[in-house]
Amino acid sequence: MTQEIGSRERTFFVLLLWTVALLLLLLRGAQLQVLQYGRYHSLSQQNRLRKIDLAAPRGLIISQDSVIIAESRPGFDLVLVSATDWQAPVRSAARLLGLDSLALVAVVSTQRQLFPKDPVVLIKDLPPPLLARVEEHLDELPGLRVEIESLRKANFGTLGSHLIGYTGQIGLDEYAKHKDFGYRYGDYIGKGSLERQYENVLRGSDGYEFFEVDARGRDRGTPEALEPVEAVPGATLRLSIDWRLQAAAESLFAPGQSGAVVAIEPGSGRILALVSRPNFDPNIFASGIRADVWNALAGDPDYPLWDRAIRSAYPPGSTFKVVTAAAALEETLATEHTYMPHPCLGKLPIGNRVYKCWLKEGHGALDLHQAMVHSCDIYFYQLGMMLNVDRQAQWARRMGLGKPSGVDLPLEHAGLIPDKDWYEKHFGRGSWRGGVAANMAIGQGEVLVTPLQLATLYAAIGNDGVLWRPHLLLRAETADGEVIRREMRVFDRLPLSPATVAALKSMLWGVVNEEGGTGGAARIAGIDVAGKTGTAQNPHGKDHSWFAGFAPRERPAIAVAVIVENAGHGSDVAAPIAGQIMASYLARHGLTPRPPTAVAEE
Amino acid sequence: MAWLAMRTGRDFDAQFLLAAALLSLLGIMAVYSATQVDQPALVGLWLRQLVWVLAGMAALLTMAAVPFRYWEAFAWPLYLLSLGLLVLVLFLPVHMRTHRWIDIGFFQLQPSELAKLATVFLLAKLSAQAHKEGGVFRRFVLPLAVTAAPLLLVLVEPDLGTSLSFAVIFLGIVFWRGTPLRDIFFILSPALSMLAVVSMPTWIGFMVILLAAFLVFRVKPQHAIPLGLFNTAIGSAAPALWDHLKDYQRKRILNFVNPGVDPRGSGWHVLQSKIAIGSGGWLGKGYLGGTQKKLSFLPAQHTDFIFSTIGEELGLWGITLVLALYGWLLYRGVLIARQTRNRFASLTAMGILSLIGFNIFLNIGMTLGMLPVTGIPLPFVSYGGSSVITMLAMCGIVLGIGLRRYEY
Repeated sequence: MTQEIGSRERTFFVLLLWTVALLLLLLRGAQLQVLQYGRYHSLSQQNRLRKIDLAAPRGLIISQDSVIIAESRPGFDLVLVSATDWQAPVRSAARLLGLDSLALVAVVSTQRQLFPKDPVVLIKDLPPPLLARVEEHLDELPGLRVEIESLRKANFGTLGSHLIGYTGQIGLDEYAKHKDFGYRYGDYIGKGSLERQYENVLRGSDGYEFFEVDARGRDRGTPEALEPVEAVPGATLRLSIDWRLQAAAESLFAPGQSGAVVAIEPGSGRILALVSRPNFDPNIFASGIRADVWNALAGDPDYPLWDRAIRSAYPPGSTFKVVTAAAALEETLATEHTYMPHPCLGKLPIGNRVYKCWLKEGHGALDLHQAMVHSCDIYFYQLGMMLNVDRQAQWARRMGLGKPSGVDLPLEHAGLIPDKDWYEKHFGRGSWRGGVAANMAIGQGEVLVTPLQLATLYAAIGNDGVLWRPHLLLRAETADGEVIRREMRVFDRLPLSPATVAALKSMLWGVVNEEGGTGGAARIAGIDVAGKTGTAQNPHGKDHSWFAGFAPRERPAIAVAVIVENAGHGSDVAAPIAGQIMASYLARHGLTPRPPTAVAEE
Repeated sequence: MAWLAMRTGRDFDAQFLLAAALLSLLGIMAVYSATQVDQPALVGLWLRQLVWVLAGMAALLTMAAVPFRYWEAFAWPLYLLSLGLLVLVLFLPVHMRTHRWIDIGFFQLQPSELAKLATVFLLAKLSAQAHKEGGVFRRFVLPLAVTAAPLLLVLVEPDLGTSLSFAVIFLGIVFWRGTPLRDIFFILSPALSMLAVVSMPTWIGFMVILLAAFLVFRVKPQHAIPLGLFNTAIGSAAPALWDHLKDYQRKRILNFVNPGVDPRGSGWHVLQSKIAIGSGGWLGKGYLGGTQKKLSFLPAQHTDFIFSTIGEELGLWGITLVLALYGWLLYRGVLIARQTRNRFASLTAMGILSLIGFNIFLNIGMTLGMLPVTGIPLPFVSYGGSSVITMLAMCGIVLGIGLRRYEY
């Protein structure tokens, strides 16, 4: 047994090994270049080998109570794959399907100029009878194929349309932005709400397979053992939405009524329902919306495509009084039982203007608690003047208004909390003087909030000052069971003392439950509902009707904000809707106060 | 160049240098041809390759000038430095999905290149010392540990091809030093045990062979028992661990074991490569006459898949030429290793040659569709400064050893 370095045998062995290895490579080269030369030569001729994409189904959107809200369905497209000699088959296809052949040829030439080598989709989403006819005659249409794509299907039509949004084909501008991320021209992409927010999660990755075509563009099957790459479906979104609550909330709006509802679980920030009316049917976007349908939707004076729950900012009206009251309590300008210098006589002169209470005959002398219960404007005018514009703005911002709530949806409106600087900038020097502070105290003038912001604020008050960031996503999970996105659980504390929060809750309980309170219509037997009505003055027509509140008063299970546009007083329209929404949710979940939900998902 | 003049003559292997130079020249030409496409980013890359080759030639001459005993003296510090860089690179931002590069301004440094060389030196040093005396620790355990450290660090980058290179260096040096074949079998047995685990009967068969080998070669119990237990442990732990994993975790491991140039598109790359080479035929389409490079072949046609451009444009005769040049280079190298008197120097030369030979086989096998896609460049030919300069520097070390082949 030798231990000699580089012995004769070992040298021989190394040289032999390398010779064999190099010969193996040479033989393999000869196999490809000599034995199989014919087939590789023909494959190397342009356009003989095609790659077709296998569309990945978009991920499901599922509610907290396991209802599939949006899923994918197959759509069958007639596609031109051949790069040359396409005029005749395109004409025959047009004849077969009863279409204008000149128009179809024009469409193809236009797209061929933009993307010379790409296949052209002649007809999208063939309806079954046409599909049958095409399949039957496909042999007579060289260069044409029927390809399957994955289309979006909203299972409940208009229900929850603003929640899920819709998908559409990528346009030329978007294509330029997205092409580096694996998108092709004509791919579907989320265009609103959750579909847009979670595009990266919902979109799977397309697979592909190869097939060989002969000179006339006819399919000759998959070449050799080239394995197709499977499409990977998008991940499933599990939402915090309670679908039965969502459906119940939507049903409370009369047809033609505009408005919004946001319901939140105060102990977690989970959004239970998000309604915007009027709504639309996302399915009309599935395979490309027709121009006339789009124009009708976009031109509708009621803006059915606009998500009022997060994108519309309204004057909060009297629902803003919780902010004024909290500011007064925190700055010790008042306690729950402080009276103002002037009793309510229905009107109060400030500067050179007379400010009115909504109750013409006046409320008489009342303290802060009663002023909130009866929504007395005169009381709050005086509080507002004591606080002035800047301090009210400061407290409103500290309580989360005037900035986006951070919900996981695109295009959220920040609302508006104006301060002195804002007035100086927009209305000139000193424009914040006079009654502006008084008007602000009752949520009129320039103050704007979204229904989502208001629901979040009331949820935080109900939750004893802990403000959970509102969110829709519980988790996103791939088909393999891998959780790729988790619930966003972020909280903030309102800068209010426990005593202030307790006083606010007591006042809001009074609004609904005390004799003569404006929120009586939201009362639920056996439950301590708390909340506040509001009437937002609308320069364009009848006032908007607000209600925001939560139930039960201690450890609330649900907080809700309701706005009905042009419906008049909050006490008449929004309050009963809010009451029914809370009642239906509490009835289904048992009336016992729920313990705060566990800290993290799983 | 006085030292060169003094030493030229029989000991200077001009043929070895010529083979490396011709391959580098062929590389510049191939890069030029492969980048004749409508891609602004690729224009002028051949000029940069020319600069890399010139820098590599300078490195080659410098390395040849250094007496090999310096390498032996600095083997440990060099090795530890390269391990440090391999750890460092894991904490740097991901570049093209892996942690392989350290950006030092004008150059992307791959610490694994340095680590390969440092491992060659250290293994050669240890094997040269352990030649005569030497228990199991000096002869096997220490060299195995020295190989495993960089191998595992590179494996998690992840870079399977390079990581296997360390195993090949080890085998080359251990084989060359005259280790009995049965010992090499025992060293390889844990790896074989893991491969045999694909089914129960193959694994049992493997264990029977292992036990038989223990008996036939009369292995001492204090060696046989730990080795047998280790093999059993690997064989029984691997499947249990595998079953325990979730689907996506398994998928990740499979991707990790074979990341490819582009995990989703490697099938397409290999097919395009085979079409390019196959359509070249006997004589090829002529230099600059290739058509497949215009197809969606990027970004590897001038780097890892450069051989398919050569095969397409120069045909079977071109492939034969390239393989012959590699064969010639390796043959001259083995002659140097064989004639070198100094054990460290001879083992170093063989370690370097094993590495070069392995890279050639892995890369060409990949472009011909025989081996899986790993990101290993073709020595001397593929575009890339790191690869070209290291390869030529390694040749310089072999040449330097050849110059001093009669020194002890």
